[in-house]
Amino acid sequence: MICWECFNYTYFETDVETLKELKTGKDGMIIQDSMFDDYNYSQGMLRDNLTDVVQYCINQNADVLDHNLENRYLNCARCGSKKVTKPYSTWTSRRHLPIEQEILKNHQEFKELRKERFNADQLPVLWKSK
Amino acid sequence: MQINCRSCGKANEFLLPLWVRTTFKFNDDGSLSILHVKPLESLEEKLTDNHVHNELVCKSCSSNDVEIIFNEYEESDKTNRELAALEGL
Ligand SMILES: [Zn+2]
Ligand SMILES: [Zn+2]
Repeated sequence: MICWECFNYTYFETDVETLKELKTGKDGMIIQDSMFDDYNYSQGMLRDNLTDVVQYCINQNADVLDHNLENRYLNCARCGSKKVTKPYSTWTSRRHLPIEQEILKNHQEFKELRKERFNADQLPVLWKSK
Repeated sequence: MQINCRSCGKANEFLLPLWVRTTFKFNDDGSLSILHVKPLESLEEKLTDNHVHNELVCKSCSSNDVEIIFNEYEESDKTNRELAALEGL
């Protein structure tokens, strides 16, 4: 993901749901992480939900943007902007050339690439194992 | 404050959902690391809110038929204040 305001692609924020445990007793009420045997369920749930929302934003890149092209789930942790998308989103692709023009522009590069592949198994043998 | 499960009657542990704002980073291998977690709502405030009944779940039997009983002294304190108010008249 990338922030189109400050070009941060590392730090982000999102809201996720977790669970806390309330324990009532003689001394009043304790609020703590919920444990099932050795497993910290509160922390597990937080991590799972975080992974889910991030994966959803990556997979459904266009769907998570509202009409202002702002991300409904993630915002940039550096500048706070919600203009956060995958680096190659439909939003930025508007700046791209039409594909025919792009192909034309890259024609020489493509020819080089194909030439390399065609000649790949025809390189001269510089040494031979005995 | 006392919380009772009307279903199993004996539990003293309950689960309550809580929204948190999480700051994280993408690691080079694509995994996520958590940098900061901040609660978006106060559990204390949530508990005194009437809607919390629908969200509280008994940890041992998973029932959401849970009742919250506020302490008696809060009740008697209210009565005392009402009496004091009457005396003031
Ligand atoms: Zn930013
Ligand atoms: Zn129960």
